[in-house]
Amino acid sequence: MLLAGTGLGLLVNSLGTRGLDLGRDHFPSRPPAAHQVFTESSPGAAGGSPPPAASTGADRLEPTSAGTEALQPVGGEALAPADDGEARAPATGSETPPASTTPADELDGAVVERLRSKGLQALGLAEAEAWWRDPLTTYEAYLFVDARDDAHYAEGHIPGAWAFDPFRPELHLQELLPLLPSSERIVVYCNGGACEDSENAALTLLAYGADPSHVWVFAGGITAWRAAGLPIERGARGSGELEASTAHDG
Amino acid sequence: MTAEPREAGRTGAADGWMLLLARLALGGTFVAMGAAKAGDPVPFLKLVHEYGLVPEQLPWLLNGLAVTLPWVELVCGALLLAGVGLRGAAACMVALLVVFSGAILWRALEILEAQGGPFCAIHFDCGCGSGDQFVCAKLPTNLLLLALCWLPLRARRPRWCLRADLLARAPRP
Repeated sequence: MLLAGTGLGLLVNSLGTRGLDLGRDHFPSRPPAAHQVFTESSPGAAGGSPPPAASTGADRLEPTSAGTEALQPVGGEALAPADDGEARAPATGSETPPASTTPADELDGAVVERLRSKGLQALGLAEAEAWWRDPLTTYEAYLFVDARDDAHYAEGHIPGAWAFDPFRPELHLQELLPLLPSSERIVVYCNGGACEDSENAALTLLAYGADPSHVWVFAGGITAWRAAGLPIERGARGSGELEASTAHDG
Repeated sequence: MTAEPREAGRTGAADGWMLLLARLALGGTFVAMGAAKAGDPVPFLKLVHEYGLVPEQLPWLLNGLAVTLPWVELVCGALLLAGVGLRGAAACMVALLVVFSGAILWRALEILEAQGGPFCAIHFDCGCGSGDQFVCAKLPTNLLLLALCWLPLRARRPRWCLRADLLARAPRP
């Protein structure tokens, strides 16, 4: 019976459309070594935010539009801890990133610590909204990535967000991959709180060449976004179908 | 249905309606729980991962468990309902229930150590297919199911079964 059940399960998994890649680690704990560009002596690393690097940054696979100043390891400007202790990427776009506008108590300390342990940066609701309203989002220099499965994505997502299920990356990778090198900010989210799908998605994007200093995890997720009364788009990306309860403009 | 001769010391009810009720309860539960998880392995994968019992260095083991366990539950439950290989199906269920209950207890104790508070206030989605449940409701339920497994395990002349003993020789015409 064990054999029968095991065999059936493997067969269905291999034939079905919702099968899992059995050999893949769906819960990466850290960014891949090739993208660890910060050394222990960099200011950002002192704050505990970026992971210690095995190299000095010469092994990045994709150049960023910001050049290499974001990747200077020793004594560079790679990451400068903000006043609230969160690391911020240096100004690389058309505007200087705001000094921390996220109230210190908005971000759950446990969530921030969990993200830091994985070498990821946490983003609060205020900044997520500000970046979403920035015109650079329209030009896809700022990307929002929804890390939930397709069903939850269709139920409602941040308008303009790209779907990217980290457990089935092959479904959306071809759409997203070309956008990664030119994106100055990539905001990944899921339900928020204890949901770790956004972290898995962020680490997967890093594995596929995203710049670690450009990837942020929106800690509050769609839950916080919806609770704030911000626009929610239903269906496919760009459908224009907004939830009736949202009062703000998109 | 003709009455079957009773063995000395064995009650017919235990091999009859009581066994049937136990089969329906056990088999129905396992089929329902397995079916709830078999369609999409990802939610179950996340729940199994939360237990932290599978080494991170063995992703294939974690993925394999998430993909196969629901189907093992389904097969065991379906066989018990159909009355095929009763003892084997029940033994499989005993093994699953012991492992699942042990894991649930382990995780509950971890949560208790981390968060404190009363043990019976702890609740989480155990990955059983029934959603978020209080530990003090889930563990006794599993114990009851374990107790019910005794009936098909000890059945000697089970009634209303397609082929209760897979290894038995077919009766000569």
